[in-house]
Amino acid sequence: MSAVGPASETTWATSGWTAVAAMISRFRNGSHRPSHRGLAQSGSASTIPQWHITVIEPYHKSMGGLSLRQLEFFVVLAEEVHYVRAAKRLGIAQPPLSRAIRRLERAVGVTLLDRTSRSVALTAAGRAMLAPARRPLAEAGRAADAAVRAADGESGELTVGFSASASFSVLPALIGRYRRRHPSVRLTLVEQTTSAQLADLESSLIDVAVARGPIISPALHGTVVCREPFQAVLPSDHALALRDAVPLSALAGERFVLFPRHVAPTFYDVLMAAFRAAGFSPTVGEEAAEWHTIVGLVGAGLGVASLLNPSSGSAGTRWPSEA
Amino acid sequence: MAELCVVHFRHHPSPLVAGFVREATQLAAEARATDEVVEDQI
Repeated sequence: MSAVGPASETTWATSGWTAVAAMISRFRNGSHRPSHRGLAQSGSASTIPQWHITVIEPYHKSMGGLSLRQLEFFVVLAEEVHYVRAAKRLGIAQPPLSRAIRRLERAVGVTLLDRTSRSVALTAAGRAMLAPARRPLAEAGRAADAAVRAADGESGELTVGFSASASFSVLPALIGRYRRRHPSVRLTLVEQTTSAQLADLESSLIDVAVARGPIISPALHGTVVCREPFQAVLPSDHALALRDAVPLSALAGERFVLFPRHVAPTFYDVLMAAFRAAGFSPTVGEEAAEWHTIVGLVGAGLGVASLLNPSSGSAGTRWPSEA
Repeated sequence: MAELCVVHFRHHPSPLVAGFVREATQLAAEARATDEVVEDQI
C-alpha cells in the first residue's frame, strides 16, 4: 500500500522560484490532525499512519508568486519579440528562457505569448501584463541605486555643528560647495559652542563639527581647514581705535570682555598663551559666550576684546566660489 | 593664530562624513593656493 500522499504540490518548486518549504503533516483515516515532523512512513493502513505533504506559501507570494527574474525575462522577451535576441540580452541560452516563460505562464494561469516557428507576439493578456511587470524592475533598480548612493556618501542626512565665528570664514563657502556637489544629502546646521559640538559628536547627536581647535580628544579627529589671526576689538572712542594695527602688549592695562573657558577650552588656552607671550595676563571684566554679545559689550565701553575677525572674513582669505 | 577644524570620530567615519571632510580639505587647499597666487602677485 502506498503510504505517501500526493506530492504534486512540491513539483512547482522550480528554478527561478524561491525555495519552497514543505511541512509534512500526519494524515490518518481521511482527516488531517496536528502532527509532528517526520519522514514518510509505510505499512498497513490500519496501524501505520500515512503522510500528506502540505506546501507552505513562498514568501514572495505578495508579488503574485512571481520573481523579479521571471518578470525580467518576460519584459525582455516582450521587447525583443525574439527568443534568441532576448536570451542573448539576458546572457542565458534560449532553452532556459523558453522554460522560464512557460513556468511564468503556468504560474499566472494565462498565455502571455503567441509563438510560431519564426516569431513571438504578445497576447492581449501579455500586453496587459507588460507595463505592471516593468514597475517592480524599475523599483528594484532604484532601490539598488539608493543603496549605492548612500554607501558612497551621496545621499542621506548629515547634521553639522558649527561655531558662530565659522560663519564669517570658511563655513558659507563650504556649505555652498557641499550642497552643489551632494544635492541628495539633506544638511542640518546647528550653531553651537565648540564644547557643545564635541560633546554632541561623542553622543552622536551631530555627525561632524566645524569647531575651534586644537582638538584634544582620543575619540575625535580634527582636520585644520584654516588658521586665523586674532584681532583687537576696541570701542570707537578708544585711543588706539584709529590705528590699523596694535601690538597685543599695548592692551596690557585694559579690561577684557572674554568668552568663558568652558565654551571652547583649548581655543581659550591658545588665546591665554598669546596674552602670556605678550607679557601680561588679561584683566577680565565681563564674560559672554556669543561673539555678538562680546562686540556689543565692547561698544558699550565695558572693555576691549580679542576675537577673530567677525566682520570681514578670515584674515582676507579668499574662499573659492564655484559658478 | 586660531585654528578652525572639521571634527569627526577618529575611527570609521561614515561615507557622508568622509565626503564632508573631503570637501572641506579640498576647499582649504584651494583657498591656500589662491592666497599664495595673490601674495605672489603683490
